[in-house]
Amino acid sequence: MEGPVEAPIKAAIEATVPEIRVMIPSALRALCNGQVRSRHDGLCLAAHDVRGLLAELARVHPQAHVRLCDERGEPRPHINVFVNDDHVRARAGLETPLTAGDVVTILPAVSGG
Amino acid sequence: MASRVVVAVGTKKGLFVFEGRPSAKRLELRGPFFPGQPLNTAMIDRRSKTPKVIAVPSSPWFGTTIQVSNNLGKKFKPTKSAPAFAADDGRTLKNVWSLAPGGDSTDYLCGVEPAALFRSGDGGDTWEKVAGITDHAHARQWNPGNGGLCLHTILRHGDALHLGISTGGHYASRDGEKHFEPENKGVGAGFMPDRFPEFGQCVHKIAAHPDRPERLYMQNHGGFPEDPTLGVLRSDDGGKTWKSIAKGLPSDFGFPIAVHPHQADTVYVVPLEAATRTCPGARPAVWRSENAGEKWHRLTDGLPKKDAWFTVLRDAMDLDDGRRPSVWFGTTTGQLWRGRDGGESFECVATSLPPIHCVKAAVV
Repeated sequence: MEGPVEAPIKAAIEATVPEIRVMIPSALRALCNGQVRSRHDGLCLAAHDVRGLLAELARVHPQAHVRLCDERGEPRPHINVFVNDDHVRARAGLETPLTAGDVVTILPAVSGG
Repeated sequence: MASRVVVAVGTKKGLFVFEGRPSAKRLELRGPFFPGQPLNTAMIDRRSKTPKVIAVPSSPWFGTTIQVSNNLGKKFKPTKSAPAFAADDGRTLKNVWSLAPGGDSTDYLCGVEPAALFRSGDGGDTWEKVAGITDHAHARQWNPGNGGLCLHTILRHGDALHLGISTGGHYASRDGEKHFEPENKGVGAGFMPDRFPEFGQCVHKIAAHPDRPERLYMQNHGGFPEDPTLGVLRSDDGGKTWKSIAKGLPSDFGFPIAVHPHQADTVYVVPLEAATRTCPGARPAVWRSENAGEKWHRLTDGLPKKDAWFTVLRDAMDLDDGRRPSVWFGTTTGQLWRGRDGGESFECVATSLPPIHCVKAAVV
């Protein structure tokens, strides 16, 4: 149970969660309730890091999330996640922190054959 | 409506559907559906008034979906979810290898990689694991074969549900899928120090006919020169014990095994050379026994006479259930073949599909 002090603190923290623009692969745009119509459109989600962003995607667009992430919530093996121009591998993986104005781009790898 | 033969062909690059009158020389081709996505299995479900074609594409990028067509494969619609392990299970779904009817018309069983079984009671919208096999004490001891650690055969037969796992062996449940036991007496594993272990065999496919509840057939992993009897087997006691029926075949290695829909003792295999996984001597043949494997006949009419290195995978041979059923098989070189009259005469239905993983045929 939240005490009288914790509740306002939590509200203050939530109020500062950065809003992130998330670019979704074209194959999955139809699973985002019409919010992403072209490659220029992005979802607007709030999260402190990439893991939290994927969790937020699971909450608001579960059908898109299940195609991008496995049962553990990890991106599927051939899915790449970039923060701005950096692959999250080159940063802190799913713990990569996000700040307001960041663009997270999710793309399928050029694997196949 | 006059009867139609429908053939669902799952390939490395999507699903193709052939349809036409059973006697037609040419069939209409539709597809590819789910382009770029491999399919290891499909199903033609005729338990309800409207037959369904069910496809299970597994995208290398975006995972697996269950896709249902109510108009013989003209349009598909995904179900609300696909089988999935619990987040804390440690396993993640890699592929789907088998789909089979469960109880009523909306009940399905689905075998996956890594080897596990899921059930849906609502037409594929929600799935739950079948714990009796998915959490079996042996499950973490099974090992993947070249195709992956897959549960590829789901066969409700006699009083039991039979499963084929590569490499895990044959398991059966006789208590409504609560508990499964390995039943592999006589099923060899030429790749293990103990050639007849309790479990761990590389079973390739299991088949049966409903009129013979005590009898099952198995294409096991054969091809061991020192023991050329391990590959093609029969059980006459509901799967508890198995014996070789490989005598007379050019090789006991192969992947599919199928039973004639109207003749319970007629069984088909496609022997392959173990080293190359292709037809012996590059001369393709389907082999048929009309007495449960006691004697085999080589069926070649219409097939290439030489220089044809066909590989036919475990789910890539089927018989439709028309009045005069055809044998259908697909090759990894993308050819779909039809053997009319139970394989008496073959014709090439499609020459250049992507590598074929599965073939499912029915007359609706």
